[in-house]
Amino acid sequence: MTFYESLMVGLFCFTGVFLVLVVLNLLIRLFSAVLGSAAKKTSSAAKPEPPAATSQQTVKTPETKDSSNQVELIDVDDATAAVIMAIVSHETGIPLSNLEFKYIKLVQ
Amino acid sequence: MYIEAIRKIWEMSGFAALTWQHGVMILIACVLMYFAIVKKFEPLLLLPISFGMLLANLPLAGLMGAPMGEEAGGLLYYLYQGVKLGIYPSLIFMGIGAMTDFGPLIANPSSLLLGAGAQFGIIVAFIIAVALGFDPKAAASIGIIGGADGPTAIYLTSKLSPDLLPAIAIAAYSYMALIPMIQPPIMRLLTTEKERKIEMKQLREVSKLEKVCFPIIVTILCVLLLPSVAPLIGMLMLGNLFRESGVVERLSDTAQNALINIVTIFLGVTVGATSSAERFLRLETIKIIALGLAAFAFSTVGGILLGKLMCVLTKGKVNPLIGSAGVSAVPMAARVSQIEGQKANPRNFLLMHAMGPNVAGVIGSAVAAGILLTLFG
Repeated sequence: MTFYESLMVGLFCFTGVFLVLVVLNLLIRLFSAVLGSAAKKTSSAAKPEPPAATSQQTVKTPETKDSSNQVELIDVDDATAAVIMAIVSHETGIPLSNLEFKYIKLVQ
Repeated sequence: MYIEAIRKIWEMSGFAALTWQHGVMILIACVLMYFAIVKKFEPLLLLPISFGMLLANLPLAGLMGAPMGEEAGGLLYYLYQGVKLGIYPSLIFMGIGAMTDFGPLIANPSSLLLGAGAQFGIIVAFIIAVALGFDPKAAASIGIIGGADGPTAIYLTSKLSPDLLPAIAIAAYSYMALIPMIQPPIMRLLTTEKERKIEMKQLREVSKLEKVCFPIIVTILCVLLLPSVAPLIGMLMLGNLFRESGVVERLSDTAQNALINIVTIFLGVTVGATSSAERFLRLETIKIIALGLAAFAFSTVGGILLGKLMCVLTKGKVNPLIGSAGVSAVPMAARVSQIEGQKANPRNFLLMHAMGPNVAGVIGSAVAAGILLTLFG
């Protein structure tokens, strides 16, 4: 095989990979949009607004073998708590399912 | 009489048949075991590979011997059929699918493009391999190292160029372990401080229905477009469907634990056992190792450059660092993006954003393998 032929094969292969993944990209967007609009139509009207960051609430951690694991949040919203738990898991190298959080509290 | 008996035992032993080439291979096997055990370089594969290499280079053991007449073949000969027939890599992909969360990819489907960009190294390595005198099948097998996907590399190489299997497998898994060293300098070279500091918006929530439909849609599309990719993509998506359906917990658990561990042992030992001295101690092996490094580097370059393009097109919403995660070493490449992003901006959490291209790269490298198999198989 000559250098030119290998270049053509390489470009063909790269283009092929791109095309397949572009089509997949469009398909995923399409089915996400279809499923999303179908879900909106079937869901009940006026979903209640989630409460603003409450001073104290409990959050269930991801399913573990011990399903009664709940974390107490004090002045911390769900998203921040999730990030904190994910960071602890990542930094320690311990899977989230093996960690038990008792409470997360904002210290001012 | 006793001396004669001892002489006969000696002549029939492996010691008498030992050559310097065997000695070198035994030494290489021990070095690889050191890397696996002490340095913890991808030990799950490198340890069985290195031990298989050791077993194959102890003369007269006949573990890889084919059956002759009424005499049965060696143990590893029969176990190797799983590699030869493409069974083990496909089963490992099923386990990988059962362990993978495609949520970040579904939430941001543009990640697929970054996964595609990071296959650039496959093409570059292929072209250079042809220029260095490798035939197209061998060049394709070498190029696929750039996909940073062990099972895909083993699958393609066992079909196209089984002679090069040990060198390619060792190169692929060694470089995957070295990703935290290979990628960061390239990432820093190709991105500006300002680009590395870009914070990305939190990904949307992905519904269970989307996660269940995803593997079905990917399978239908990819296998209809490229039938040759059916074993890899089919098994990957089957494993993922086990995970996401939520109704076959036992099967999902088996796929991602017992099954993948058993297959990893068989795959690793038998791939290692193909590295006989005659196959491994050649100039081609050094070329493959060098080309493998080039493949990894250029894959990172491709992903980062496409990431920069997406950054420009989205007016700064995409951090180019996640492009390097398109190299499908899950989740190591995504972690590297996270670490480099945090070095520039401690408030930057790129891990979940990088997981999208990371898992997209698995699909991308399987598609690339399918195309190469269609062309040269």
